[in-house]
Amino acid sequence: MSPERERLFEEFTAARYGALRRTAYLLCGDWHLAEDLVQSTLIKVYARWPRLRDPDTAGGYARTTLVRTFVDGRRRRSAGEVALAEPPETAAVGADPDRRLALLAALARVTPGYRAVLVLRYWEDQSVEECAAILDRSSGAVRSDAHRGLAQLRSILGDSVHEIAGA
Amino acid sequence: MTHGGDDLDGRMAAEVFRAVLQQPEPEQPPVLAAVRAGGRRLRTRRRLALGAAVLAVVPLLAVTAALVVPGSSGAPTLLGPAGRGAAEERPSTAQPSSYGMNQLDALQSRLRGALAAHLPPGYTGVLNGSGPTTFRLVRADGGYTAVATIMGNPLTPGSRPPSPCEPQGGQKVYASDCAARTLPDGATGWLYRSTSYPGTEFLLATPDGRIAGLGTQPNAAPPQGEGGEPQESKPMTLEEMDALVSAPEVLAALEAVPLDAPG
Repeated sequence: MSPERERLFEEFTAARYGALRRTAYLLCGDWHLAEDLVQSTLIKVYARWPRLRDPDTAGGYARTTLVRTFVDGRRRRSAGEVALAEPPETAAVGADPDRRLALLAALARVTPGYRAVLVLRYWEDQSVEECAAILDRSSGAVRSDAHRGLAQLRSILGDSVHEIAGA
Repeated sequence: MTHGGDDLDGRMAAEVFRAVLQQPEPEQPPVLAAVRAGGRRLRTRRRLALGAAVLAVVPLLAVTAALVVPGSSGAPTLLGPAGRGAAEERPSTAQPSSYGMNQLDALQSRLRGALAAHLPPGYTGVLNGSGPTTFRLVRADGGYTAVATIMGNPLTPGSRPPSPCEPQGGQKVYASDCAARTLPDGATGWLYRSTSYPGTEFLLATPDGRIAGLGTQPNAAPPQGEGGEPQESKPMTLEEMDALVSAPEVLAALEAVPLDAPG
């Protein structure tokens, strides 16, 4: 790869690493796992970099790769759930940082596939159609998973839902 | 970042995400070296898989365009020492490959001739494969062993490529039985088995840092348009691969394959 394209990749990595790691953290709930996920993603982006012409294309490709790598990894090792403290049946949402840990535990209890849809829809701000393209699924399946994921999260959070939504 | 939902549940999800990220983030680890090493290995693996998996169904010229490395689109000189190193020096202008059919034919002919002249015992001939740098070695015991050249991004001149058997940057290893080799022209590399399929590969770095090599493929596909179904590619032993790539004529032909040559 030419030095110029190497430089562009360095700039891309420097600019996007933080956002990719945050999204990865929301998906897997652990900073170390998130960094592994981002590194795997960047390796795939680098391998394809000569054919990615602009930052927007590269950013979209990286997002898709990140989420698919997470979902595929989940399929391959279904027992590899992030080792979080055993969450309570209903997360008690109190003051920070307890509140943050309770929410993290609640998020960890959402089925990974649903979690991926929720992260794309409500964190990455992707439309249903964009989520469907990223996950290689139908729009109907994405809507269904989003509905179920939200229902799971609502159920886990219990009475805290209204307080959180109003924050 | 905003959230796309305007309903209560959507706001709840967005707030959960925002809240769990309200903490100091770890320092960004240095990842570029590991990413580059892993990306180059990935490109090499994909290139090996491309011949049988893609070229069998995609017209050759389409694949030629798809495999173009932007920044290497100047008219390449495929043969001879003058062509070496040209890929890295070409200007970065993303355009379709300028390979002409004559150049592809010359590249293919040189590789095929070199392989045919130095076949290990038990092989009786060489047929074209699914692309100009893939071939089917005809076996005396019936069937084929498919081989394809390996290309990769250049290394620092004088350096040996990292062992494919050693994990780099925590990435999964896809090789076993790695044996270091130093060839008569000073090239250094590794002979190894693939663990993702029953294949053997040889990866080398020339003294000036170019990556080249040869590997067997999982399937032996005939050239596009010739007809016939891809067949299973029979494995080649490490000893056979070693003998084949150690022949100076084969080595020179492999090292002359440009970085952006189609599979």
